[in-house]
Amino acid sequence: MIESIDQLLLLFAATARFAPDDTVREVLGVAQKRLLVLRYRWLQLNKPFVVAIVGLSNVGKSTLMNALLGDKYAPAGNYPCTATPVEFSYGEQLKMTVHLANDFVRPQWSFTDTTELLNRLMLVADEKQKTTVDEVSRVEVTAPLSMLQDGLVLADTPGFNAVQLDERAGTHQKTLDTYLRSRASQVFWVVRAAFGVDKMEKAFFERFLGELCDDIVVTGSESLDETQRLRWRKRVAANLRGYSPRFHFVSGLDGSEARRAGDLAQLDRAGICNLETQLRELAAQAVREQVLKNGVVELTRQLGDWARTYWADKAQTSGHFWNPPEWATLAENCKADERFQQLVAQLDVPH
Amino acid sequence: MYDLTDQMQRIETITWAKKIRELLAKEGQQSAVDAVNDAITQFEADKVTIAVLGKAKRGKSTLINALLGRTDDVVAPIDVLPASSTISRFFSGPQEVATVHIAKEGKDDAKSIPFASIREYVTEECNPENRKGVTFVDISAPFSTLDPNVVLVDTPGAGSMHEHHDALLHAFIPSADAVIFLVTAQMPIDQLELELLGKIRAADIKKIFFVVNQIDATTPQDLSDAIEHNAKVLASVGIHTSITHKISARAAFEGKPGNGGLDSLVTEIREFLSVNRLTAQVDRLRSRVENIALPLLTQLDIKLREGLCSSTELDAQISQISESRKEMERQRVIVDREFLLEWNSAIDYFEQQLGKIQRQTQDHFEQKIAATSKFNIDTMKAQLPGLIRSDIDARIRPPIEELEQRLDACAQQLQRSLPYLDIHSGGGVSLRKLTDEEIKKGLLKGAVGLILGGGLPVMTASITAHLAALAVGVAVSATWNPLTWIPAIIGSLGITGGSAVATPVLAFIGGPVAMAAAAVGVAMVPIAWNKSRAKLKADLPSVARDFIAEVFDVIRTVKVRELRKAGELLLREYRLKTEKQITETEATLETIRTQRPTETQLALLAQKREAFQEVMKALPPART
Repeated sequence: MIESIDQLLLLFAATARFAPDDTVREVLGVAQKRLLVLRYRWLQLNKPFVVAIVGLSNVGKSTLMNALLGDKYAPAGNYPCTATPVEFSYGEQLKMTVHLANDFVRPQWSFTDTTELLNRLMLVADEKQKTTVDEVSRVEVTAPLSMLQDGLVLADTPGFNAVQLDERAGTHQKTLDTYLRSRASQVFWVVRAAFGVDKMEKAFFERFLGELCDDIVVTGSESLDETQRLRWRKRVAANLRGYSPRFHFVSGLDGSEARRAGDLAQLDRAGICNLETQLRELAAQAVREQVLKNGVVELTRQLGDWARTYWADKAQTSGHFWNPPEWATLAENCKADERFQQLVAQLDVPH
Repeated sequence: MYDLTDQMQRIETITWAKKIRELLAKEGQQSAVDAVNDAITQFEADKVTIAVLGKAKRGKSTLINALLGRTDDVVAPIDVLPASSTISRFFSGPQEVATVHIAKEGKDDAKSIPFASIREYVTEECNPENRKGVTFVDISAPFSTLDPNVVLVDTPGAGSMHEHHDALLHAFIPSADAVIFLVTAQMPIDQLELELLGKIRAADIKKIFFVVNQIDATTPQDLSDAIEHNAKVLASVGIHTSITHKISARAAFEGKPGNGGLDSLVTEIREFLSVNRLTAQVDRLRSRVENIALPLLTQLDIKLREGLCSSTELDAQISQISESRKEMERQRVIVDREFLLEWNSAIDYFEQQLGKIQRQTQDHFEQKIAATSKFNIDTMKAQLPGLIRSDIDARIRPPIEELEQRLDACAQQLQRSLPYLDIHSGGGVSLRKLTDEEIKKGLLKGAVGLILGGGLPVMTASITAHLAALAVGVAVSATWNPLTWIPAIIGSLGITGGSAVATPVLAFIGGPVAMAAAAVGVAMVPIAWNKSRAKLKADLPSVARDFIAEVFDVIRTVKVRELRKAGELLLREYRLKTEKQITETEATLETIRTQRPTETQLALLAQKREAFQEVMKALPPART
């Protein structure tokens, strides 16, 4: 698959270079960008699948983490507090490893219960412990959690946009940015039902939507009925033109309570079960693979449709839409691969 | 209602404002006259305008309903989504009347609507993106708990995803006498709320009631944490709150016992009204009128000073300006060349350093890989891109700081060559250069005179704009510090959310290093790094070397080149502006010379100025 994507990228690039006008260049530019996203995600297939839970300070990321993972795994409080990304992955033992930004030495601790872990986490991740956070690039926690057994890694991240009071103002945002760019396979965006989406959130969305983020988790949704949820989704979607994220309406508070009590019905009502299913599906490599394949097929179908219309409108009688040498290579390569033949057929522009 | 002295002061204040309005009318300043009229009308209505401000979904409309003593949300609709999309003003009156003001072809069109239709005009749901063009809605009724002297104002949420709300809101803020600043107990104060406070303070509004809402949706511990945090944030921007009201607007609206804690807020508002009503209103009228009139007074001043000069003096000024201009022209080539030379040589030096760092980085990783055992090579492989990235980030920092200092010095040097249009107190203008002392002290503020080329603020703006345009995907904020342009860029290059990055040039060059590395990494990893361990160990150094080279290549070919270009663009823009302004000044002087104002005209001008100054000073200080 990666070879096909690379071959397509070469074709797009070569065609754009000799394109007759800016429209073609622009459209191919968009196609390249979309394909690069698919390519990036394809390369992530064999890596640990890191889902970053992202959102404003105090929006309820940590509560949501607790609803998903059970027990108290994330430090919470009513001030901007998680200062460093914390990754949770599967392990027989409760362990915590601290990754430092410029060092290969990784301090590690083992725990017998989550209280010890939480205390240690607070020391490293809490904003109040200023001295330690500077050099920490991320913290990894392993725990025997069934949800993470398939290789899913869940990451709690520093909230942004709250006013930081120390001299390192703005560091949360930077830590988050660096982290998302370097570690995250996918982003789940947490917003609070009661507060909607503000200007800063929208700006941040637009930087990551499409590339890393397909999912918006609306927490605190217990206060919304079905109609209200629909209106909520419509209003926000109308303001994120050009993207079609999935919306998950959940209640972090009800969820974490249900998790503590082991009440599965309540957990389901809180929307946590659906969210968990979505996460598990994404964590399954085969599912992600299929999604990506479909993505490439869909991209070539749409692009081919556009190219044929464009070429017909131009009433071109001579010349080729696609760069001939690259097209020839593509045609040559596709003989061996059935799927590839479909892509090529979809892209073909008769001349 | 008022005692005699108070009445006197009211009348004096109105007379004062009307005199200024008259002077403005004589000058033909219609828009200024209109603005003063608005201020006077508001003052004469003898009502204190109290606006409820805050982000979206903080419970502003719920609080309004509670303060009005309403049991339904007909007049101030409430929704689970951001509801209010316009300014609603609430008055106490004998009958239920609602008037919608709509901007139609530049004119205000008012129409009366039944209470039941208010929702159709004031909500985002029924009037999306304000397609109906509503500017504001006035609602009056015998509201049971509304003080007849108060106009209560509901506003759209600040900083929401609906951007037209902010425009309406910002235009309205200056006409408020006092503000109820509403935050939620569930979230700490954020950047957008600080921005809103900035707007309130810029409008010179002295009284802010701080209110934390939604206390019923949080624990006492979280509430006190939030209040403590907020107080610290406010103190950091110089706002000291003695009282924060803790309320639940919803509980009050629903008529729960305890009135949602609203009573303390209402008491403070009452106290404010009884003690400060007149003072607050006089203050507001004065500061609004002064803000409108002062620019015109300055204009008058300049005109008069010019007119007072004799023909010989004028000739002297004109020849002085044209001499300075010639002199500047002569020096210009040199100044420009020096600027570009220094700008580029700073960048050249930085590029040399880049080469050095590249070699150091490569050596460092060669050794590191050599020291890694074959069994750990897989781990090493996985970590390498990250390690390289942070290694480069750390190494690149000192030379970038040095580069920054040199570019800063460069700009200062250019500033020294800025022509300064001096307006002498004795009359007349001349063109000269600023002394170092003046540059340091920041002459720009308060001095009479114009720095041509827009001075540093304009330069800063253009540097900021250029760098921002070059740094792809980085949002620009509108603020900059006029005297130190380097820190200025920090703000403007900060990532959305107003965060400051360590150094601006680092943000510009270094920030994207990570992204450059990531882009390169995507391309390289699959091709080169899937190998057997032995082969990997043998090949890894060269792969690492190539990877490092690619990253530095991106910095060199993209970032450094853009920085070079920025120097030229900056210079060109600055020169163009200077040229234009000198030409304009010369033209003005030329006009005055050929059409000398007569003695009578001059006397009239002097009279006008004097009258103006007299009136401006005449307002007696407000009683305390």
